[in-house]
Amino acid sequence: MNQPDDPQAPLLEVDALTVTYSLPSQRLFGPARKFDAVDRVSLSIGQGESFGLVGETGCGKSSLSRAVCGLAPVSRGAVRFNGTDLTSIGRLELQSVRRNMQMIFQDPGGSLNPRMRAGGLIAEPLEIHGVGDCGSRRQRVLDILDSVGLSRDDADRYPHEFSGGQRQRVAIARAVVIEPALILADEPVSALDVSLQAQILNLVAELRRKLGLALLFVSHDLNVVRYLCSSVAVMYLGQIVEKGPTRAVLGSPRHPYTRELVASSPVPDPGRPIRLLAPAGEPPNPAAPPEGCRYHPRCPYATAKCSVDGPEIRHIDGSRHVACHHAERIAELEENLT
Amino acid sequence: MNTLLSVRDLELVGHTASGPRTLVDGLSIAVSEGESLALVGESGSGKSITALAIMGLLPEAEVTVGGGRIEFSGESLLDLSALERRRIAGNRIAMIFQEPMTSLNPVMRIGDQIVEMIRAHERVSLRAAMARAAELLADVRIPEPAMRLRAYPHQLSGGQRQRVMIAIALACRPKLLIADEPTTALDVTVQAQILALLRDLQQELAMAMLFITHDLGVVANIADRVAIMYCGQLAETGSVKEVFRTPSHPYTRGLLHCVPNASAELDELVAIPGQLPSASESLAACRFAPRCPLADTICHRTPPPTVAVSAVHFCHCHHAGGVAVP
Repeated sequence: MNQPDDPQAPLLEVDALTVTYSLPSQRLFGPARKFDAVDRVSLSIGQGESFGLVGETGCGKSSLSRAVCGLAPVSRGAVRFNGTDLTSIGRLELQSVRRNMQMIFQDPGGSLNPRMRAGGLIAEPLEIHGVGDCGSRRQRVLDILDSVGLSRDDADRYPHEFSGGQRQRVAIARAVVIEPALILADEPVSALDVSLQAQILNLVAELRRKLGLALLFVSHDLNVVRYLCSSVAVMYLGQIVEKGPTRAVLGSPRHPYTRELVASSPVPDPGRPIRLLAPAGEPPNPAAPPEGCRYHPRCPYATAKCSVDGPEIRHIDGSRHVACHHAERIAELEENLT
Repeated sequence: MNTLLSVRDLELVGHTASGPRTLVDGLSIAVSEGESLALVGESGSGKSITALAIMGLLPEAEVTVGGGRIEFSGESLLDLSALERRRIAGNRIAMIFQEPMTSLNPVMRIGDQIVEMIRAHERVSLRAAMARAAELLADVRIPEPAMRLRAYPHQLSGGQRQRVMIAIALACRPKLLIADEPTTALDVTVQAQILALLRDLQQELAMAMLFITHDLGVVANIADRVAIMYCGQLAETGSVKEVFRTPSHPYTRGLLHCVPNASAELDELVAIPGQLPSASESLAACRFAPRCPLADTICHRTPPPTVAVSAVHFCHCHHAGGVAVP
């Protein structure tokens, strides 16, 4: 692994990144329509840091994580990994960088080749990146099976022979087997039963500590992010509305959308019911975001300024950044409202 | 309060290629008038199939009723003919499902779908039924209901589709609404709105609700009482307050501890070891025994007794303490 010269430098730096998809044109021979799924987003992840990316369907969180490893079309901005800008290098170079960057997807059933045995699946990254010889790879696979809580006999089984939780363990083994510096995990526990989620979350946390991995964890579940991540960014319609230390952002949110998200997330405690902070309705179509602040049509504190002038994300307190004109007075505004 | 729905010793048997298998084993639950009961479990716990059995919608080639009784307003549903059951299902008991897109007809305007429901159970004119449909859309807080009647399902957002499903379910003013994971496919902010809507409607219409979910956070927000199932067996029932404050079954305790919680910042989640039994595995007398920290030989051999933790709280476990109920 090539270490950066400066140990303080971030491992991953996403700089004003825009991901643009083309939509089919509405008329035959009409102009193609474009849609920015991620709009000028910046974030940075340090060595060994765990970073959560939360938001609802269509907010661009998955597109962002996919763009980081080159799986989504970047139209503007940069993704720097260990100082190398991934958007400006060729395929071969990108492949060697990806050795240090591995993904775990939501549905292990869809991301594991059904015709390969678990052992072969886990050894594949080692083969692609030419790590070790046949014998040492086999040993490595057996070791990693132990550390993800599978038995050595499982190496000879096919994906369909595993349960959902075990399949996710195979996917995790595959991601960590070449000891990357960064894991990109896109909703890795959402498809699992509650009692298995905890097992997988504990496994991810343990491997992260043991191997010193940095983690970009994409999730819609605030409770999971609270448990796993030290920093968090909240996305709404392609933009980051608030980011900073998890405890601050989810504990005392400053952006009205973060406040809505936290208030509407159910907790298993009848003494703390969910609250509705925003008027009924749903986020608008991300392909046609509103003018001004994208949240203003749903925001109970929106003023005339919000509908014309989209707020830039700015520093508020500690290391928290918020994109809201009213971030400083948000608690007071909420009190006046209720 | 009067018991509206009572399920007693229900046994459901699944017929698979490898032979019959018990899917629901001696389940007993009761829902009083106007009450909201949450039926909680993971996949394979038998919660959805129980709902289908109550509605009379079991896929008969695959699942049959092996025993037990289902009574609704004192009437034994399992003794009724198919025709008589259809008079009740959709009319006095209504059901909503997880994915509204698959339960709504994609090529029919939503107004027509609501009217279809009304006219299947009542003799009213098309015009009157359409007017009722508009009122129903207003009841579920859909803006501009008269215009929305002409929309097709794909023109609505996920939350609005679920509202339409609720409107259809409420069309005949049911006494009992069965909601099978109605918010699982929705985002949290939309889920919060749908939960609030169901709570409001339930109170306005004095309707009972059987709410099926896997999410204990949702239970805390929607239910008066909760019944927790594991692999076709009931583990624990009681008022939401008591079960969440003093969980008595090891499975309930496990479920409550393995959810990352906002208030408790733990270094490690207390996970339930092992996994759900696969369809081919043989089952222990207490289904949870293979994963249970308290299990001993009796758990594998003898079905768990019903133990009263309090007057409103029952636990099905050999090791729960408390007074055994005969």
